[in-house]
Amino acid sequence: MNAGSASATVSAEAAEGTAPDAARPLVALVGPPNSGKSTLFNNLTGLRQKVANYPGVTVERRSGLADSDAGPVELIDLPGVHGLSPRSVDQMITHNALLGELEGDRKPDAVVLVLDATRLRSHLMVAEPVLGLGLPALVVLTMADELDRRDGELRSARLSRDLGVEVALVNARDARTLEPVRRFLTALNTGGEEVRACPIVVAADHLEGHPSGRPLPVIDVFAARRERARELGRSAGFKAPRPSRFTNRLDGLVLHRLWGPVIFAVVVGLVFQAIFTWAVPLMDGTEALIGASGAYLAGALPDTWFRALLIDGVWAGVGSVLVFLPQILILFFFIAIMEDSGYMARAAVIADRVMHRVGLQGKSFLPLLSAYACAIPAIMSARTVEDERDRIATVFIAPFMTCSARLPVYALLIAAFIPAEPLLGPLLGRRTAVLIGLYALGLLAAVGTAALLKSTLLRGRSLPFVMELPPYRWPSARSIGTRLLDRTKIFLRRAGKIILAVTVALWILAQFPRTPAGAPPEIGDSALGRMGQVVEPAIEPLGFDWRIGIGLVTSLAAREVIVGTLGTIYGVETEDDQDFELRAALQQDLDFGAAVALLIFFVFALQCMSTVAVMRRETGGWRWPILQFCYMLTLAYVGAWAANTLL
Amino acid sequence: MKRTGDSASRPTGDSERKTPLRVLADIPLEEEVILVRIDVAGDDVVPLLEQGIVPGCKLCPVRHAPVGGPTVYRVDGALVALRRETASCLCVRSALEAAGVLDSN
Repeated sequence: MNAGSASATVSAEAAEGTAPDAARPLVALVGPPNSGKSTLFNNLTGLRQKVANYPGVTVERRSGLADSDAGPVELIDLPGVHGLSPRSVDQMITHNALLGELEGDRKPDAVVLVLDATRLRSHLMVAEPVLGLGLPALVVLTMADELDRRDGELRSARLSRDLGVEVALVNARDARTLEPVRRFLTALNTGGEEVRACPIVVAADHLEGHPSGRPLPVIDVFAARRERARELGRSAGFKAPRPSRFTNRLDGLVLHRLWGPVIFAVVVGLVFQAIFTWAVPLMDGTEALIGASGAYLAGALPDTWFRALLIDGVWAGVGSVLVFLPQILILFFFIAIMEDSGYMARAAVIADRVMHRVGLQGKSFLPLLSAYACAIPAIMSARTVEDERDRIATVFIAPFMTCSARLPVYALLIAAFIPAEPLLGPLLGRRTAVLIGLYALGLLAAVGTAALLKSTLLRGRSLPFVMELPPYRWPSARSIGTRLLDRTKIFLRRAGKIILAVTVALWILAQFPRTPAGAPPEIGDSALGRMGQVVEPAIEPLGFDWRIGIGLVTSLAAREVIVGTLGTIYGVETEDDQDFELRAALQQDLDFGAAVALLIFFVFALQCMSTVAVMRRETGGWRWPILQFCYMLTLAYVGAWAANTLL
Repeated sequence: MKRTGDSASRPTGDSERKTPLRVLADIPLEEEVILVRIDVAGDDVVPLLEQGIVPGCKLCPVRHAPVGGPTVYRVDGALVALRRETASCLCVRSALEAAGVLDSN
């Protein structure tokens, strides 16, 4: 971490420490997706923001402090929504947050409604249910520069008069245009006249699907709302901008029947190349840094149990997670560029046809692509899939995608058991072919499981696939930087806690019971070794002994832990650990069939407690994670048994 | 997607009696049409409505996605992709035919 981001973290922590101040005005930012809401939030709060989860769900709650002339104001960036009907997790959160019905959150003192000025007529449809709640409001119309460039027109003063609240026409990326927003925030602190609520409070039964009211037929609600939005637009002299020529030309290429799939394949290939090749030096660097800092600490501390716990337990545990951070950040860097540029929506459209065949939809593409780095962010990003059945199916199959934690295991076993010989001349070696085969096996299991789920437990009619394609825009470095910083914090907090706890627990289990002389036991006699011996009868048909058994038990916490565990087990058993080679030890202990069985076990089994924990939060209970764990374990066991028996 | 005959329909005036309605999926690229009726059951219609696909709005197919994927439509200045099966539930009339009967966008 460089000095700049270190100070940013300090600022963010300072903001975290002071955030829940009831005396400070709380302002909710609401608006449709792609309206520039998050850009405005980033511009107003800078780095004084924090990301947490709403209680019970993994929808992120982004909040931060914005300056005004009369002191700071707390802003919450609510999920982008097209309405307030509680049909998706995002919309439910926004709805409840605005009504002050969210656990642990107070009702906002005001709302900033962010709408895209170039799409005024359709975006004004969101204005009615939001402004109708009666909260003091400011309507921010973004993309003023784009409206102007594409010959659109709008009289914001007239719209302000018609709505009865302040309206500001801004460019969310340009801080100089945000003065009216800051004036509104100042007025919130001083009680200025800019703070007004929309005079028309919408009756409860106009809120579609609102539990407290008798809803009108939904089509009539929207038709009437659209008519009122159009009338507001007419009154404000809104002239729609001409379609973006740049977007039109680029779509001609990106969605071209021949070039579209080629560009799609190149982009996906580039992401994979970045994750698995370009990330390697950074991962090696991180690993070296962790090793060097561990060695420095080990040298500085006296040789006690505390040093062993700190270095072998905590340092090794945290290190095993940190080493994946560059890979995950590189993935999120690409995802941020694809999302902010507008390409991600096109990729979802291209992928939709194939995804639809297995019962999913194009919006599942992003989570499944993310799952190749790590299932945790993948499961979280599945909330963009509005159809609940599709979302559950996506979350369920995401752990089948070959995540980066499987790679160290694959690399170890392939190097130990597959000869480095060419298979198709210089084009393809045996080892590469096996690695590709393992990826393909995971994908096949995912596709088959999705089809199975959608024809059994998740059978039912799907919601219409409606995908908005935003105009292409240059991604902003600030927005990407903020997202990467958020990801780093979330990853370290979520994954770090669990893996840290498990590795410390494993270390303690390997240290006890002590020998009569008070020394740590041989690994086979330790509590950990006994656990391996307990599971040995169950894994014997797969060709594994108790050592692999310990590895499998420890890898339940996280897959990559097995490599370190086996290293510890064989290292402890071999006195001369200077010349020790884990590969050679494995070749002695496993025959070819058992090695393939172990590979197949890792393709299918859900050995990641962080994923299980996130799955429980995301699906709101234990039913799906338990089913997922048992299903994947059964597949893993049967697959490994078949491999060991047949080979 | 379950279809329904009249769950999301709205009266649209005289033009409905004059010319038969077509479904959006059959409209060639660049022909502008006006949405008359949505044959989608219950609340399943909400994702469409929230994107501004409401009876009376103008729709124009601008591009077919590759490999038989969804079609991209221009709706109220935005681009929205719909699958063929969804577009088959949207009953439309040519914007030219409807001119003078329905107000334009």
